[in-house]
Amino acid sequence: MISSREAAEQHTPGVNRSEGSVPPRAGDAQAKRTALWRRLPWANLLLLLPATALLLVFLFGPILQAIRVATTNEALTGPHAVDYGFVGLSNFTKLLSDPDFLNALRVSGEYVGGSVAGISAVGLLLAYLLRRGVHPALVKMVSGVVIVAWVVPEIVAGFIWLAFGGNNGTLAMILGPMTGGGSDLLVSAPLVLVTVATIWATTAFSMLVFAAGLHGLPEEVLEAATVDGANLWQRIVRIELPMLKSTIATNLILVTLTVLTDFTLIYTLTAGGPGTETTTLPLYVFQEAISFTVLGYGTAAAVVLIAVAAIVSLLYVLVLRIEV
Amino acid sequence: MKVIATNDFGPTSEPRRRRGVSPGAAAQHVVLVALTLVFLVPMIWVLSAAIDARASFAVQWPHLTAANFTSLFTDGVVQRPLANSLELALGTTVLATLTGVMAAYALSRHRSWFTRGYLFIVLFATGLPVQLLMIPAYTLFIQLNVLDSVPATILFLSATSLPFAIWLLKNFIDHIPVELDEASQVDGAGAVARLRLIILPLAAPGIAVAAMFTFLNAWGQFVIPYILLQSPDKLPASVTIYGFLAAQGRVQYGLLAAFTLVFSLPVLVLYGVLSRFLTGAFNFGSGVKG
Repeated sequence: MISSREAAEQHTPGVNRSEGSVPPRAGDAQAKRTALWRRLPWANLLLLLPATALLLVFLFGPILQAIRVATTNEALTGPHAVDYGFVGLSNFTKLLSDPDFLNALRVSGEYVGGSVAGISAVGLLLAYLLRRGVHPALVKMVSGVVIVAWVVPEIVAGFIWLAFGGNNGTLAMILGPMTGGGSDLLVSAPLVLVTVATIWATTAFSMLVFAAGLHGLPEEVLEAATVDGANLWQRIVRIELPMLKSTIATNLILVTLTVLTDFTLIYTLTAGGPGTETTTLPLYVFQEAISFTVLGYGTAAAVVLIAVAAIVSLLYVLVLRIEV
Repeated sequence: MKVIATNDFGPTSEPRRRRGVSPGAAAQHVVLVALTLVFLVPMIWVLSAAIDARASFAVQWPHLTAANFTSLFTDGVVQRPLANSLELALGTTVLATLTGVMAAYALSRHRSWFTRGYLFIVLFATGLPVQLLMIPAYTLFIQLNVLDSVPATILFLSATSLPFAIWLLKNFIDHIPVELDEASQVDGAGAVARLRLIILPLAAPGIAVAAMFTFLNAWGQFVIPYILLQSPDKLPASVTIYGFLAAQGRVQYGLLAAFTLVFSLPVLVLYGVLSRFLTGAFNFGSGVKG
């Protein structure tokens, strides 16, 4: 990504020409910046106000709200709906001994691990296979199908997999000869089905990230490797993958964020069941807060999840050193 | 999370040293076709059920009919949800794009610790998934007494789309020469006039991209309206579809399949336009959305 400052500076040759007073040396970024400052006064920052108000109230408001509610025993119904008080960190300590929370942690771990691995592996494979020696029409068809699975609204993806993997669905029909037939995969292997559905619906993202990364590899290096007698495997493992390091990092972080907080697909497919077999953290938070109406406690779980996502998100900004 | 796709997989043909099909190339094609089938098969049911007079979850040779689509509209079940979806998505698109372009302009033209920190927070917020904020947002909405309010839901949807919109628009505006601003300033134009006369026309393609992304997200959004809206006559199509699904067994699957196809159509069309747009006018590479 081109640094925005570089871009701005590229476009400002002669910015000081009409200034006259203090002609700065060419390439003196500091001086250029000051000059820009004088021309575009602070008043312009008023333009930031509407967006800032929206972000403060509706994005950071809920985060503060979460921290506040998480330290109370507020409930949606019953005596604690109106008359609730500060309970400190007790909601958090209670979480750590709650078998349902610990179960949600484990389920989330398996779900996120399986999905991220599957999405990245299939995405990389597709990006690699589509790279060269394939007829453009085939490239269009393959990427088209994979991308459609990704751009349809999540609720539609949930519907598709409910029909495909559910009782008497096509998947049971296909797998029938192997499994003995008749079984409802949403009951016999719900977490596997939910993971596969997630991979189906998200692989396109990984594929596009990797395609962009592979596209940016310098052709000469790859040719040099071939000339030096590297075989295909050596070329991929020793040269291409190491050069894709930052692409792989971007992909892993963003896919983890998506999957970690995925709600709609699982909610549509299994609603966390059967039992708590597919109750990932987001579903646990939802059930505790809305369905079981213990708002304070459920929100404490939400705060934990927000903190995890915030750390991953911070990693994304810091590790990749994106220029702002 | 979305990627701005260019569908650019690099050079599609390379000079072949020998004639004929190598075993490697054959394997490559076999794996590609197999993977495509794996992705395609789950979609087949929806397509066939939508034109099947007697659809069930079992995929079968359809008893061809267009009745599912026609009765969808003559029954009058879907107009309201689709209109609600449109209202939410359009409202969000207008609000987020408008406030986003103003913020992006200020952030692009001012460089200081303040704007740098602001942008850092914006970028960080693009990675914060919205559905995490839903429970606290729900309690906030109760407190502000705006639960079940369409305008408040639009404000919330806009706030969740803003970080990415600001980031995208700022990158576009960065590429508009600053001299143009300065010239107009010398001519006496104020910030708003400058934005309207210089930036908006030049950033129009970028604004279109940001608007399309916002619309795509808002249209397909399920969790936010599901939690923040309650009256049946305010619910968008995504929540209505879920309602049908939850009432399993008593559902006419053919109708529901047709409904999901109609609901998905704008998304597919818009995405097609978007990816074409990005390969055409811009070499944007792969902007990544959170």
